[in-house]
Amino acid sequence: MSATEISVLCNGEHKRLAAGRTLAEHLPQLTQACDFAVAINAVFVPKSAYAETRLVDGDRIELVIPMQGG
Amino acid sequence: MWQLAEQTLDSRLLIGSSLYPSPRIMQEAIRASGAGVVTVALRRQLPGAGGGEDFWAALRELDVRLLPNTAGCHSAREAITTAQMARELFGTRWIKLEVIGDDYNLQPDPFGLVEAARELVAQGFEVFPYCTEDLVVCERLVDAGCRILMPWGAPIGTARGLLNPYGLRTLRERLPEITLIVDAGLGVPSHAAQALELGFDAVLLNTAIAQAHDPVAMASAFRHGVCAGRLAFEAGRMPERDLAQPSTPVVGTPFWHHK
Repeated sequence: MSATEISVLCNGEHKRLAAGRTLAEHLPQLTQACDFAVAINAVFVPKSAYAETRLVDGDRIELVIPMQGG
Repeated sequence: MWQLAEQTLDSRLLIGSSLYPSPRIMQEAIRASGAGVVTVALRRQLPGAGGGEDFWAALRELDVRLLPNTAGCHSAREAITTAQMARELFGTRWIKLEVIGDDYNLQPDPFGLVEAARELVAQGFEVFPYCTEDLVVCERLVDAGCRILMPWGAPIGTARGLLNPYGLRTLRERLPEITLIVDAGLGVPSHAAQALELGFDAVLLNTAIAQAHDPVAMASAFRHGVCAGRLAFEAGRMPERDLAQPSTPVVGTPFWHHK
């Protein structure tokens, strides 16, 4: 892995992303969903924090959408 | 009309959104049930895993209040994070709190449940804990700030009805100020009627409707079962007796015989 890239786990899948960017900048690469919520390393990240949340190597991202439930 | 937290509702039936043959049948079944509250979940977006825009669009066409769940969580920490994501995603502070302690019968973990409930109440959530009918666990959940409790009738998806009517009746008697909803394990409308006859405020079910041969017809049947049970509770049942008593007057019986 180069210094310009980080490796993250998004919904259980390994992804390589450009280093030094925020969650808001990476999101178009991570999902096409309109309605979703995010947790990083099992901590909820509110939408208001996307622009200042910088992803780092090894982050585990959970990106969830509405689903059927009982 | 009745009050669930801050919401005034017509129906005492809460319904799940899962396991229907299609989003369209889900929509029709929810309408036929008369339910004003529908449970939903959140999951990773995976190919072929359901959910997605079709489901979400069908649900948004309905005039219902959403109750997101934390299904699949096995710890208080997972459940708290899931609830926080649900609050933002669905725009509601209501959360059906599930912390599973045993994968075989999906029995709630009472310790994780109380821990998560305390934290979520402190964060401003209206917590609907999916719990067992254990009185002490329920009292601890009330101590944690829950105003609503959702004890199981039987394990999720088993359709066995109320396995412990004594325990459920005890909860109703001991926690008269708490909103009690039987959640899970119901199979037929008579199970729902029985819960309402015991004085439970409502029932929540999913599989019994979604997996019926005709989900829309079964949704309607449950709607009537819930109404019948509530009316019976309000009417006040007669006490049980050990000995038979004739309902037809004895005085004036023809062909009266003396031994």
